[in-house]
Amino acid sequence: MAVATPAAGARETVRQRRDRDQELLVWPDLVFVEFICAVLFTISFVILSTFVNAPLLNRANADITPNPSKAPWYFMNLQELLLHMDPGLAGVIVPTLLLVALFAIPYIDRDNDGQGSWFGTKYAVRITTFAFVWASVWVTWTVLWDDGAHVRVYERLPYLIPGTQSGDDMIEWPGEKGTLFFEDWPGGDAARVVWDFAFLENRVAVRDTWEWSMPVPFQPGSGPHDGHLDWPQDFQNVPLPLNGTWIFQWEDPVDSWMPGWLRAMAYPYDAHLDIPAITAEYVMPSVTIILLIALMIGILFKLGWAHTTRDAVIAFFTGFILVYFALTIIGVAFRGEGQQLVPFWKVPNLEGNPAIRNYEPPPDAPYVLIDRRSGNEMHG
Amino acid sequence: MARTEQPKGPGLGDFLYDKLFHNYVWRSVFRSGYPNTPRNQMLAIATNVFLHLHPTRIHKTHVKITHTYCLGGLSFFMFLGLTVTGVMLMFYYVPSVDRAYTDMQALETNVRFGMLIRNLHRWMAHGMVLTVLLHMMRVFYMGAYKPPREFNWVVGVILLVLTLLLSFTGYLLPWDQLALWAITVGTNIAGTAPVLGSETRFVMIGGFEVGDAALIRFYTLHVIALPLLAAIFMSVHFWRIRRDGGLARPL
Repeated sequence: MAVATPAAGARETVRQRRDRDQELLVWPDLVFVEFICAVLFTISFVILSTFVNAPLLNRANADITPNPSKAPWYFMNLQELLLHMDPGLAGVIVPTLLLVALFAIPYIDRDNDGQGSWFGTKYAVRITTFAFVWASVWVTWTVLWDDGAHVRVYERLPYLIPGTQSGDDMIEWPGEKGTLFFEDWPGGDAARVVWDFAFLENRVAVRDTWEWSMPVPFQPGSGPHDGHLDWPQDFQNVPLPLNGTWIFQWEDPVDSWMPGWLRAMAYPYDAHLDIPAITAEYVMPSVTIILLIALMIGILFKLGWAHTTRDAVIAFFTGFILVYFALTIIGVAFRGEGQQLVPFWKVPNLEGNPAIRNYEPPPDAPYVLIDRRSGNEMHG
Repeated sequence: MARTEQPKGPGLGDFLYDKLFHNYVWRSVFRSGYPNTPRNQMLAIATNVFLHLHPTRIHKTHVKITHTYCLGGLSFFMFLGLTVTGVMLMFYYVPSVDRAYTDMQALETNVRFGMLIRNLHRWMAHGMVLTVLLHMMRVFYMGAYKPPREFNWVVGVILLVLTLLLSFTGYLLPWDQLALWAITVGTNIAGTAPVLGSETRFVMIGGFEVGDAALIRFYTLHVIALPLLAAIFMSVHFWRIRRDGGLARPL
């Protein structure tokens, strides 16, 4: 079949040539397939709906909060993201960027090669498999890491290496005992530095448990000067140079012609940065996401599997789909009370929750159910 | 004596067929005859309001199930099924905090086939989210978004978002614990947007808490606004398939 090749620089809106010999009539060849599909699906859904009932728990009650409270399953991935980063990043920025990336796919990958056949490029299946495994491993690992689940492994590490255990004390994380453990080793100081990186515990540790202090001659931030720059406390309230010094500082804010809400926007008198929080909630998650995607695509090119934009886009899209479904599964099947990671058989079943099951509506409920046939009030 | 074949004369069947299908009224409804000739088969597609979105001819690879797995068509089919079952549910459902839950109970106990219709509506909604996602995957892995189909991919992503929003707005309507708290969590996610988050949340649920205002908003969005939008974008989506030269196939 002749392939229409666009001239260099020409818009690649090539219409495929019609080949009448290769064509079938829509009636009956397609319409019947569609009809059979529709009938089969109707039958399957009627059977499914006959045997599996849609859930209906007790009447909504703002006084009883089920634990855990979960969004519908297709938004559980968003809820899962919210556990790992700031709401602004997880709930808005990441989904928006992903949506924009989805919109942009055909404008990034404009080459017509590989159109219309499954996994059109030479290594597409390989790339898909790689991206699938890559994303599965990393999404599992980052969720476990962020949950602090790996800490138990680190804690037990000294016990697993013969001859390094000192005393019967549990080696705490992070703590001096861990430091002691490394001091016996050659090059122990360097190892201790690594060990002291308490943020390895998880991302939140950067903000809450990671502490260091360094003598400085100047006064950073606010508060009394103790001659030291301390993480995190000296970084939690870093004032922006706007505070009362910005050009939009009004002489008389009370009698200003501006409405109050606009004045408040133009006069950010309390603007400050919480750098530990920004690091933990924004910088580390964003860097992790970008790095993992870039690394995946870089490795694919290095391996010689990926050659074109199409290949890179396949890797990205596969990763996106995997993360979407993996986070959904984690959120639905592995988040128990208080959104803790639990095995799926320990995830509480809301329908079996007695607080929800045994709730009775107040006696002055304004609407009673009337049996259609007898005209009596229905109970139970 | 060998019998020679004689052409059979018209029998009773032919007479009835002629009277049924060759009369003035029938012809006013169906302009082409029974589609047993190529001409009538093409006319059956081209002159039927429900079928005319199809071309009259199609490349032979496109009727292979493995080419599309019928995923786009199934998504549309589910949308139709959801419309039908949804309209049936509307006969029995009043979107108010006082009535919604008891209406659901009545639907499950008092209304003949009410439970079945509700189940169908719910499982088809979940099925539609899945088929739409799978359809997107199919289109992607087949490179069917490539020129000249870029814009139809964009419309498709919009339809995916609309499908998710349709499912989401339907979630609150039974007014049970699951619904209330799922929507509370869901709108809280929207409320976390950096600048206009709390305002967005306020507009979505019509107040500070999920209550009567949220219910009527979600109901209106669910039964009018979003299906209308989805229908408009679907029309564009289907129309563009033909404008862009049918389904994608190797060049």
